[in-house]
Amino acid sequence: MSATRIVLGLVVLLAIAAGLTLVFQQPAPAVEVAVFTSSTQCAACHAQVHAEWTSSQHAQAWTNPAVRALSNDFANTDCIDCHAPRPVFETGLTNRVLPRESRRAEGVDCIACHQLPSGGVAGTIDRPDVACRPVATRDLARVEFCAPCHDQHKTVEQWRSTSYAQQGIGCVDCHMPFRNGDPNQGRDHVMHGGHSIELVRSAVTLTAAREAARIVARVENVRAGHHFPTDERSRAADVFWRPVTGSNGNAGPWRWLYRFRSPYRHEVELVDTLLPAHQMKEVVIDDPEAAGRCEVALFYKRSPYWTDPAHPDPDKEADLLHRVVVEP
Amino acid sequence: MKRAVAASLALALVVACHEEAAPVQPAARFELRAVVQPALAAAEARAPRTAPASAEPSPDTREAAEAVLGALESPDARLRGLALEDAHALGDAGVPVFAAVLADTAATPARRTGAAQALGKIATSSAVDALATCLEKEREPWLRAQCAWQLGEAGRDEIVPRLVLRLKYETDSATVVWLADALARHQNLSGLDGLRVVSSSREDPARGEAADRLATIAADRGFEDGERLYAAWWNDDPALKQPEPSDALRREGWFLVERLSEPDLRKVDDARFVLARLDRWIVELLAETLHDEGVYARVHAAQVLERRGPRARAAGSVLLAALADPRLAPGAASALGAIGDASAASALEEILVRSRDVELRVASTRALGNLRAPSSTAVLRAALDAREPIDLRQAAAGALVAAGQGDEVAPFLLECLTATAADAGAAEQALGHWIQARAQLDDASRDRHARWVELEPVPNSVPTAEDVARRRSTRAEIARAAIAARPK
Repeated sequence: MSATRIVLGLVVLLAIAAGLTLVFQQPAPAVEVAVFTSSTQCAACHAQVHAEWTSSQHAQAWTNPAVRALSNDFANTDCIDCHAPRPVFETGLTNRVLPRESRRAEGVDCIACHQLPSGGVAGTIDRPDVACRPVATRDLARVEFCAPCHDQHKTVEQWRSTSYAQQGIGCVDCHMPFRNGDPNQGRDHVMHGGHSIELVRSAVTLTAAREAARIVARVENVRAGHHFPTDERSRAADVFWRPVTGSNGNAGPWRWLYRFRSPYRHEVELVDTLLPAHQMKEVVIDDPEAAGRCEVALFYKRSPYWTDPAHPDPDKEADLLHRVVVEP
Repeated sequence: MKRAVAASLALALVVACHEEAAPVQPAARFELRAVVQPALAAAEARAPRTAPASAEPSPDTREAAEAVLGALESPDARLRGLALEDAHALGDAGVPVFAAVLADTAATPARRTGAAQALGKIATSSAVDALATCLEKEREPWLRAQCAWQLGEAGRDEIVPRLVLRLKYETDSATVVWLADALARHQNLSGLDGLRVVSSSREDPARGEAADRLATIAADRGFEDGERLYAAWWNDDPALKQPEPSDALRREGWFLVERLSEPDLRKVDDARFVLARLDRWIVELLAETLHDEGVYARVHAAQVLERRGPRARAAGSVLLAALADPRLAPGAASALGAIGDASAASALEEILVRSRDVELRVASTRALGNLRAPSSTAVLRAALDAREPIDLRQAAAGALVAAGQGDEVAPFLLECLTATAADAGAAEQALGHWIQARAQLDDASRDRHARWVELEPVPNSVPTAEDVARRRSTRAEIARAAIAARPK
C-alpha cells in the first residue's frame, strides 16, 4: 500500500467522522415559538397541570361569584391587577403586576406565571425543540415570584421573619408540593391555600386545660410560614367555647371568645390580631359556667361578618378547624 | 442556470406573498422622559411642606389655649366669637394644645368640639393637618363630621385630596354628608355621589340632611337640582367654574401622581381614587405623566384618565399619541373610549384591523364600544370571525350591542354564557344591555326585561356558585326567547 493511498484513506475516514459528528452533534432544529392567547392551549401537552390549575382558586380569580360580588363585577377596577394579571416576568419579580385586557376569564393563568417577555415560557428545563420553548427558570420557585400579589397583605413580609425563611423553605414548598413527594413528578398546580380547610387546619393547634378556676385555651401557629390567617383581610379565625351539660352531652350555643384577623382600613376600632408564625396566643375562659364539662373550638371564616353578630353561629357560617373538650 | 434563477425568483415571490401584514407601527415615537420626579421637586420648591407643629407650647400659650377652650363652651355666642379670634391670634403656637385635646378620648365632647373649632379658625397647614388626622383616625363619628365641617371652613385647598380620600373609607353617612359639603366649599364636587346615595336611602337618618345639602350645593351653582349638577360635573360642563389650584395643592397633586408607582397596591388604589376625583386642573399633570419613563406611572395615569371619563377630555390628543407606546397603548385605548373622544375611532379601528397585539386589539374594541361610532360597525363585525380569540369576539359583540346591533350578536353572546374560556359574566352583562334596549319594542320584550331585572343579585349579598348557575340558566332561557322573537 502506497503512502498516497494511506493518506487518502485517512482523509476519507476523517471526512466521514467529521460528517457523522456534524449530524449527531447538530442541535435539534428549533421550532417556531407558539403565540399563546389562552391557557387552554397548554392543556394539549400539559393535561395534568392544566386540570389541577382548573380546580385552583387561581383559575377562578375572575369568575368566583364572591370575588365578582365584592368587586361589583369588577366595576372596582383596582381588583383587576391581581385577578387578571399580565405576566409576572413582564414587570419582574417583587414588582407589582399590571392588569390585562384579554382572557380575563382565565384569571391567574398559565400565561400570567410562565410567559417570558422575550418569548418562550419559564419552566424547569430548557427545551428549544418544543412549541412553548421552556427555559429553565429558578425564579419560578422564589417567594419574590408570588410577592407581586401575595405581599399586598404582607404575607411574604411575614414569612421573612420566620425560621422557614432562614431554612430556605418558601411558598411553593407548602402550597405547590411535589406530586406524591417526588420531584420527578413535578409540582402540584392546585396551589392549596386559604380555601383548603385541611391545609388551614394543619397550620395551627388548639389546646385547652383547666388552670386553677379558669380554662386556658392556647392557639399556636405551628406550620404556617406566615401569620394565621393571612392574605385577604376578610379571613378570620374565632375561638368559641360552650358548657356541655347533662349526661347526653347537650351543648348550648357557642360563646365567642377571641378573633384572629387583620381589619379593613375603615374598621378603625379594631386592631390587628393575626397570629405570627411560631407564636402562641392564650385565651382565658373565666366564667362560672365553665366549671363543668366544656368544649372549646377554633373556627375559620373567609368572610368576616356574622349574619347575627350578637349570636354568631359558627357551625353554620364557619369551618371547624379544631375542637377540644375540657373535663371538670 | 436559468432554471435555478427562475426557481429562486418564484420562491422569493411565494415567500413575499406569504409574509403576513405588517403590524401597526407607531406613526411617531412617543417620547419618554423623567416627568414625575422633576415636577414634584419643582412643586415642593414652590410650596415647601411645613412640618406639623410639634414644639412644646410655652406655659403662656397653654394658658391662653385653655382660656379659649373654656370660652368656647360658653353659651354666650359673643364670647365664643371672641375666643375664636383669640385662637386665630395664637396661630401655630396653639396647634399642639388643641390637637392634643382633639385626640384625647377622655375629654368631654364639648371640649373636643372646641378644639376642632379653634383649629379650624387657626387654619394654618399644621392646624388643618391636625383636623385631617382626626378625620382619618377618630372613632367617634360626630367628631369626624365636626372635623370635616371645619376643614371646609378653613379654606386651605391643599386639604382637598385628604377629604376626597376619606370618601373612600368613611362609613358614617352623616360624616359623608359633611365631607361632601366641605369639598363643595372647596369647589370640588366629588362628594355628590355620596349625597345622592344617602339622600335616596329609605332608612338612613342622614337622608334629610343629605337632600338639603345636595339642593343647596346645586342652587349655589345655578342648577335646578342635584342630578343636573351631577351630570354637568361628570361631563365637565365648562359652565361649571373650577378654581385654579394653589401651589400647595399642585404639590399634593404631584405627590399623588408619584404614588402611582408605589409597590403597595393600596397606596396606588388610594392615589387612583383621589386623582380620579380632583378637579380638571389635574388632567394636565396626568397627561404629562403619560410621558414618564416609569411604566407604572404612565399606565396608572392612563387608568386614572379612563376613570375620569369625559372629565379627562383634555388629554385626548396625548392619549392618541400614546397608542405608539407598546406598554401604554392598551390603557391609552381604554381611556380614549372612556373619555368619549370620537376623533380616536379611526385610529382604534386601524388597530383592530392591523395590529397583532391581542391585548391592544381587545382594549381598542371595548373602546370602540364606548365611542359607538357608526363607522366602526364593519370592523367590529369582522372581529366576530371564529378564528379570532374569544375575548376579541366577545368585546366586538359587546361593542355591537352598544351600537344598537345586538340582534345579530345575541346568539353568540348566549353561547358565551357557557363556552370554555369565554367571560360568562361579561356575556351576561352584554345580553342584559341588549334585553334592556329591546324593552321598548313591545309588551313581551318589556316583560322579558322585567324578568331579567328581577334576577339581579340582592345588593351587598354574596351569591354562591349554585346561585350564579341558576341565575344564568334562567337568563339564558329569557335570552333564547328574545332571540326567537327577533325580526326575521
